[in-house]
Amino acid sequence: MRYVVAALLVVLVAVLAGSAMPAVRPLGVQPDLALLLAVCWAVVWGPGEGLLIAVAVGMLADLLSVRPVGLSVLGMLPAVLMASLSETGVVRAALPVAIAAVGAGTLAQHALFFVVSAAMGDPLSPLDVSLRSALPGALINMLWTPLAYVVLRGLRAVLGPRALGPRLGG
Amino acid sequence: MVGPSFQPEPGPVFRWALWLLGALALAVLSMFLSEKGALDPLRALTLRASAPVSLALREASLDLGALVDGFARRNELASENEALRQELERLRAELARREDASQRLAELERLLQLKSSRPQDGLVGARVLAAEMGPLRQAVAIDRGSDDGLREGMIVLSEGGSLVGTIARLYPDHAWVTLVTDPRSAVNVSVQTGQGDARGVVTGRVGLPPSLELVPREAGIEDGDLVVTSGLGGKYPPGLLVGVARSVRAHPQNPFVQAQVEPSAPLSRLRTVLVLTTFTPTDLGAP
Repeated sequence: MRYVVAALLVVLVAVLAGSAMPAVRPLGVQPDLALLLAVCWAVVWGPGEGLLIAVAVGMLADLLSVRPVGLSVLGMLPAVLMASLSETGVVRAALPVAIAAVGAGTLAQHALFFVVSAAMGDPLSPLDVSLRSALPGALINMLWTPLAYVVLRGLRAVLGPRALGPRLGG
Repeated sequence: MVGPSFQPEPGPVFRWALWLLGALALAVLSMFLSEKGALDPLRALTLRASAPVSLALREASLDLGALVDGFARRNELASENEALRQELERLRAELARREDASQRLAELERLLQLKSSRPQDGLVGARVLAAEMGPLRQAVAIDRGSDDGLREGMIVLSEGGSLVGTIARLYPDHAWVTLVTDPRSAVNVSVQTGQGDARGVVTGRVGLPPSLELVPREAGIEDGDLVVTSGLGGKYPPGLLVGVARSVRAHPQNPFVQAQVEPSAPLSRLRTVLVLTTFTPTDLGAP
């Protein structure tokens, strides 16, 4: 049952990112639903499952966009890695870890997109990317994290604990 | 005598590192294949399969967005309506002053560029399937591709005839259009000022409206001046409406004015577009 829900969420998020979200843009900036789903899933169900979600939603979102396929997955890896801290015992509070991972992940994604753009011959100003895209994007994504986290926590009560991935904590 | 061999189980951190490395390898391999075009059939299949749901969600979101936007901007819309009424009155008065009726007609056709004023142009209608409207990338996917006679670089217009962008990536049954607001976009334009035409360039910016650059200060451009393609460079035909000059500022120490361009096409709410198939863009390059 959980895998069906996960698959539906992955498809819904990937399709929404290219259809409804660009037109609605709550608060004027489009939240990165794929990143929110992957990080919050990693915090709620463990980093292994979060990584699988990141790969699935990132690949699908890229296939439905003009980006190189795999770029979103690459951009989400630092965020999922950071989200795994909630399981190692270094930091116990799950929601603050999720918020921090989403913020740092957004910045890491922008850094990666900037490098890839430059490598593909489309250089953008690093100052513009930082001030007008990375920082507002990180802020908006962090604001949306509690909502995504609460929804997934609620789903966990229905769908049960994780089944896949290494357990990093004691 | 040989004792039992001890093979330690890999620890969870080691296994986690393997998972991460696997994902990293998959992502890098996908990017490589994607850039080689090997994943194009999969892209086309995915977009086609998701098109019905995507179109329904997009239609619903456009209606919802218009509703929310209209409610939030009701005061602004009222004042904008009043400003438009005044501008219309001013334009009518200006037109009335013109003696040569044929010149007036030609000017209007050149500025407005409605589809009916370009009967000689071949236009292919297309629906917008998906959009990417982030600060770093502004593009829309349309449901026409190379099978419909489209080519990379072709010009895409809104239903009203304003410039939307150019075809950047082409597939057999769909295409991605880079919008004029994309940070990588640059269009040679002509600004219709009270003192005549002034040449410049409209450049997309990260997270901001496009800027109007390289227009000399003495050109005398003002808020509300129409910006149309100049045809220089060969990538766009002349006379396509790009937008309206806004936030015009001139500094004594700067030989060029600073201004933004408000695109005339509703780029974030596009449902259908027209692809101009009879214009062949050419890249003249540097002299």
